[in-house]
Amino acid sequence: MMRQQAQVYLRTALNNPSASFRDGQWESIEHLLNRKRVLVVQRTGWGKSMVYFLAAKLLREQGAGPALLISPLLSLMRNQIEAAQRIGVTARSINSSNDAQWQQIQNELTLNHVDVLLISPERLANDNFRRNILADITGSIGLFVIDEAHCISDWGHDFRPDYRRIVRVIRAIPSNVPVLATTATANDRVVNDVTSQLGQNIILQRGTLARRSLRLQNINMPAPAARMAWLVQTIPSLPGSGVVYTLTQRDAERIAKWLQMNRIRAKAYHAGISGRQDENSVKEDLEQQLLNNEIKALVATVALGMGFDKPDLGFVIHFQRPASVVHYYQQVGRAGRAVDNAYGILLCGEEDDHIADYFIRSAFPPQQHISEILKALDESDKGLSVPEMQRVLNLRRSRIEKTLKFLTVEFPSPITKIGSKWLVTASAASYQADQAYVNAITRIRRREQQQMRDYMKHSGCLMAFLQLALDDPAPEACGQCRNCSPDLLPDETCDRDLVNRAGLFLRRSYQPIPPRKQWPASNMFTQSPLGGYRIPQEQQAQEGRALSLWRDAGWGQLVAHGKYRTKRFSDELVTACAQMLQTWSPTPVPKWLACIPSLNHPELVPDFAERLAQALGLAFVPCIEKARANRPQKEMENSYRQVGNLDGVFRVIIKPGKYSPCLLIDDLTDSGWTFTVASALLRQAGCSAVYPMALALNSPGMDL
Amino acid sequence: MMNDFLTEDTKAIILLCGVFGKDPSEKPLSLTEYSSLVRWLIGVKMRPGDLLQKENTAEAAMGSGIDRQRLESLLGRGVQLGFAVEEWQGSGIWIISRSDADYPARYKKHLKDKAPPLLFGAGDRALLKGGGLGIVGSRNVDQDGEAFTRQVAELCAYKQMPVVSGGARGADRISMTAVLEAGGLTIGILAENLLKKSVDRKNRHAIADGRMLLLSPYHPNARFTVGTAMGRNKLIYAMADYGLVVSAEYKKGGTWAGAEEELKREISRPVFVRMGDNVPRGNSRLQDLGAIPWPDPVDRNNFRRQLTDLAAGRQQKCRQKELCLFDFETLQDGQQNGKAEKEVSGSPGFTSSRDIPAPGKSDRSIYEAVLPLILSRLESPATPESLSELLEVNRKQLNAWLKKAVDENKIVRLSKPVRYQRVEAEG
Repeated sequence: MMRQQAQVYLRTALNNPSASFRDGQWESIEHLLNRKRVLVVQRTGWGKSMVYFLAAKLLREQGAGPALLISPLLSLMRNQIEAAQRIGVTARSINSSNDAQWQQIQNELTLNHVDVLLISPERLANDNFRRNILADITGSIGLFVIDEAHCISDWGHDFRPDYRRIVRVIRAIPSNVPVLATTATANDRVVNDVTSQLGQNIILQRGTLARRSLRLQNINMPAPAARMAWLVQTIPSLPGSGVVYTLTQRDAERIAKWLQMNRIRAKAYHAGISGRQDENSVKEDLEQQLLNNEIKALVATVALGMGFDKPDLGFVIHFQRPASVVHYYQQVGRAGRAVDNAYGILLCGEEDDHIADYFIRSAFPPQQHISEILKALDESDKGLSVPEMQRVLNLRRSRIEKTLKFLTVEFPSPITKIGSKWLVTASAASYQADQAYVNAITRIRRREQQQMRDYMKHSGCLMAFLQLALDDPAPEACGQCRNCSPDLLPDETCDRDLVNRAGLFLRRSYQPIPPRKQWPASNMFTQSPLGGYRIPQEQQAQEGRALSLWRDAGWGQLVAHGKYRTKRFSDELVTACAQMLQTWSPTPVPKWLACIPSLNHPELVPDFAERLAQALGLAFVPCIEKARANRPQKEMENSYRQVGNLDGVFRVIIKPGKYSPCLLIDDLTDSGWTFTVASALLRQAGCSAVYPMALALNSPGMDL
Repeated sequence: MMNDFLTEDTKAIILLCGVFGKDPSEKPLSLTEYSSLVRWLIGVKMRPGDLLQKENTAEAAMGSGIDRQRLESLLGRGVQLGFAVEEWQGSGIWIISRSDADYPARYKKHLKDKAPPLLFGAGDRALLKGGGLGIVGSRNVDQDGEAFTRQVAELCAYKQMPVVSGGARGADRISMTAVLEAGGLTIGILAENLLKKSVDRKNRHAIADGRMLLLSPYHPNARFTVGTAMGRNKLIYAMADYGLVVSAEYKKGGTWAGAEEELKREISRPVFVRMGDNVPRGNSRLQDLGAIPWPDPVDRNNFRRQLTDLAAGRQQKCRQKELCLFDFETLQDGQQNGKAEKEVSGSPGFTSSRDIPAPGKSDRSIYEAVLPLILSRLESPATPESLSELLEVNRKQLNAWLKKAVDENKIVRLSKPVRYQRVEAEG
């Protein structure tokens, strides 16, 4: 009877009077109605959301409280939310981009007007949110749903620290609350891990993973320029719109720009994109543009991941090789869910191993950072806030935050946060990061990397390889992949001319250097004649440019070569900088050059600046002196240290007066504080504008 | 420290009695309400965990007289509980309920159904077996009181007796700090802010060393209220073997109320009280209520024994409670035939002149008749003032008797201030 009612709802929700339950859908709902715990492993598009919307609906009818859904998908499940609305299920989402609506949603919850509440796992990482919002709104939750449950597994491909917390929450939840965990990708090991973490009496509901409409193809193309050329050649011929995955934010930005230059409607999408336009976040907006086929391709990192749901996605191309098969399947599996023909193409480049190694190495904070932070907190009387830690520790903010995050999900945690201060707990004294655990995870990551290399070289059916690797019970040859039927697929060569243009583009990846507007704290200087917190307008630099990214394809390698091998920057770089200035053409036009002095390498930068000045037909005036030696700036890990290390270091030796705009040259810029301090001093001496110019920008940029 | 597993029973108890969220829509069960629910559970042979089955709540509501809807919404807080418990446990706080095996047996035995349903703690659970000396005192302690507290706490460390205290300013903190500094163990029963106190530098090091246990019946972020402060006093006494009041204001404040509450208990923990010239009035008044003067001097080597003996002596005295001079003969009779005991203690206070008993046969003088009573009050040093007040006898007469007793070597006179103490037979 209940099933009949549920089927009526299903048909209404799907707007399809003849729809019926997929294998396992009703069974899952029934278990939840009986207050059981269920793990659903089904490919994307199987209809996992129907399970929790219908279960929520039926439970609500029995008088239960709303469902809480922890999911990274947020508001972009708009179509699913509409489906839910058709059966009278009201869903609300609380995330970082809609905090203005929290109060209203809280009121609706109090009035019992909300049936499903969505919260992103990242929200759970926020102590304030957990303690002050979540603690108050979860008083009557009747169903707990955790999406992308493979993240629970330590061995899963993108294990997220926040999910460690979720596991412990679920363990503490009493047996009268039904729990549903769902995922589209999990091999046996992950399934076993998730079941053991969520309790052995969890009921497993698992189906096949094969996707019949997807054509898989692997192409080995070491040079980035070649792959970029191939993208431009191939993407216009692919059906519908799709996603190009890159491993780093930097590449996402660069590829998107390159595609745009070649008249392909493409946009970048990564975790570094933030901010809002009107009511929607920029990311949401980008997702929407892709959903509506307003753009041909979204060039994205894994930040466009879990839960992105576009049934007619025509292609998924990987510009670089992802970290594991599980990872790859999840991303490529987004294509071709509701179309007959879709493409999953994996490009493999020379930089892939290097990037993968970097991610594996930096997955866990090093013991040294952990020890330093715990020591500083232990020595403080009332604990420390993050900015206070930056002052006492030579660690950059992101590292401090990463380490804190790692430590807060340790159990029991050696630290806790009270107000804005972090304090060590009694567990800190005996705390040791579990090195065996870290090593085990690292070994697994290496094996996964190897499996991806094997996949690249595999000569049999590619879909079968993926299915086998994911422990699908019935893998079989697909008949349409690169190895089953090579004729059906895009050309694997690329146009030489286009490759050359791509190479040129890479060398012209000029990087803006934004001017700093405030010091890390007020009154940081005791020797230099600078101070205050905000940097006054008349002391700020103009926006500057860097020729390249440090050690990057393009000029980056040549800069490194000049700095460390030949101890002289080549004339090619002089020409390149002159070209950059031409393209850049800042106004008012700079009339002369100055440079950042160095005691260790007194010739390197002035020599380059001199040659550049000659090439530009301008004067080079070495008017900044080093008043004292200081530690290398690159050893300073955060802005407090970086600025502190520059106090009293520079002296401007021209008489105060009125000077025309100048270019301020340095070889390598990182945080930009050196430019900021030297520019402020030049401006004080009467220079009307200062444009920083560096050969390379050393930016982390390796983020997702 | 990975004791994060909670039984379904404990989860149910947290749902019913726990406080989470800033603004709970339903008031968690009070101790009384919870106890009536437990009585019903025992009656129908169920456990708290069985309440998680929806079909049982209606009956439970009827049986315990608690509103059904309230029970249901309390039990419906499962997800909220999940987040709260994770938060607490992540910060090193554990939770035990009355249904857990390691719930302190002392609490169940001593406090019966007044034992708190939930305890939050930080530190080594092995310390839950308790014992030792409970030290309480008002927040403001003078120098004498501080020195005294420190000495006692050091002695406890020396005798490997835990110091149980409340973690508040004054005597509490002095005693806990002193016992830790002397290498001993301490159990803090907190009325507020368990989490914050567990990460205080001194505390967290002691907790990490396994030498400190912090315990609270209130949730880890609870704020101080007079109610919470009062509620934990009995938990201090119950956790220890003996209690010691350093200073109590007469009929004022938690120390007085807590000691009074304990002394009125049918089977109470022995409560000692610091005596001397400069102690607050509350201290001597507590003695009237049955508190035992803290031994002076303390027998360092047989400290425990000394306390036990004094406590046993008081038990004796319990039966003499509220007797004054004129009840003396009845007492003697009672001691002889063991029957009158009940009557006597059942009719305390001054009796009418009609009941004035005849002197004992062997007594040749009033002095001989009253000497045993005087001696019974001088187990530990007492001033003539307090004695005359206690025995309701005129100071001049009392002094004459005391002088005679000193001459007979029955008691000794101590000076600075003048006090008397009975001479103990060795053994």
